[in-house]
Amino acid sequence: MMAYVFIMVILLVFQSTVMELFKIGGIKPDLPLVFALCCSLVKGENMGAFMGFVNGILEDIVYGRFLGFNALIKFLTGYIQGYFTRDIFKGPAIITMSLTFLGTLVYNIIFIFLSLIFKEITNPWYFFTPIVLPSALFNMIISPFVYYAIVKIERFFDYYFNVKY
Amino acid sequence: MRLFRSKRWWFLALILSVLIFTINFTAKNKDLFNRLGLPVITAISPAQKVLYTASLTIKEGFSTIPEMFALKKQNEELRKQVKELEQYKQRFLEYQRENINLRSMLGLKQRNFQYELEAAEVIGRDPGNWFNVILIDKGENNGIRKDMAVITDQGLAGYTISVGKNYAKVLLITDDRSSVSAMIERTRDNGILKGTIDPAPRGFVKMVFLPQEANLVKGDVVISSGLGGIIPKGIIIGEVVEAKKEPYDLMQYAIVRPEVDFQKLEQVFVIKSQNGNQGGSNP
Repeated sequence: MMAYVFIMVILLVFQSTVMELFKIGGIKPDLPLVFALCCSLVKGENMGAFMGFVNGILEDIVYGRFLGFNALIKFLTGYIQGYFTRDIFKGPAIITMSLTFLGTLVYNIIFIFLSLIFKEITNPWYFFTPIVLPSALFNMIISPFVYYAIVKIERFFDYYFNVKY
Repeated sequence: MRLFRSKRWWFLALILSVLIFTINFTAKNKDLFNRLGLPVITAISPAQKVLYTASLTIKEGFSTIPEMFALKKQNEELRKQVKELEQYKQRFLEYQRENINLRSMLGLKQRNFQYELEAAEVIGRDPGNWFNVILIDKGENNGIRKDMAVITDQGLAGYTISVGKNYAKVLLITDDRSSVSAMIERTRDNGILKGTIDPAPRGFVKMVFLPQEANLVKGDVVISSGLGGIIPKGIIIGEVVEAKKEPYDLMQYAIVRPEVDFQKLEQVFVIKSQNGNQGGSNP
């Protein structure tokens, strides 16, 4: 678990610096979010919610105006992603991609909803085409790599623990 | 099983309500929020600084290759421009002297165009796509406080929204939540500059509450008006690219292209004081 938190911290630092290079039309893929979504695909809704929470709370601390906003959104996103994909076979990359696409849409919908409640944005419909769709597409594209990386990490841990204990 | 399920939902509801409480609580207690954030930001800021600088260098590298061919021509043009600006500068200094004399004759207060600046480096950007917040590497220890204007050599970039010991968060003017009082330089019409709001395209800002009779032309320069007390008067913000009348309204609005290149923010200056007074809100 701590290893995953550590990876999340690294990803967040990476996201707020190097990811600027991958910006197309002002939109960049959200690597930590994809990581959290893939975590909930691989390890279930509890892990997904936890990783979403860690991602959100770090984002709140470093860039937010108050604590808990992103944490709440990403926690919910991770949970929903894991809960509704429990019984789906997640082998092929196309399924990971579609689920990440849907997960990002869910994230953005919760985001818009809560932003309206906390008065962070004023016009929700304006953001749909310029932000929501492209970011979902970006996240979709990088998701198989992240998913594969997590599966590898899991295997590595299994191996490590098998050998050691 | 049923019990387990209901327990799970209770647990979820508990977490959600705790988070909502935290949002409300920290929104009201900024000090607590800053104290919580300090160790985390201090821990990750060196890594962020290195990575951000590295990625900007790479970005610059890629963009300079095609630029190199145009450089000679540009250089000549710039030399010409420098000469012209030198003349303008002389005239400006002349006017300034005259202004000081006339003001003293009329008994008006002296106006100082020189601000006390604090140079700071950008060490990170909002990881998401929604908001436009940057992190700079100077804070309370360098005399920076909340609500101070942040500029670059090109113009206004934003203002500080929260400050820690050695870092500050800056809300850029392109953020949806930002609003700055501004003025059309030529016509002296006042308005409010809002971040990306419909129908301004992303990266542009919208200037609202402009009077219906204001005669706006494409290319008009927008400067800060000094009303509102955060941003000093006369800082260049951008230029008008489109002006439109609001339907069924007595106002018109303008789409403004900011002068600052927000994609390449590297070094910024925080305006600590103007006219000899400290800017920013009182602690």
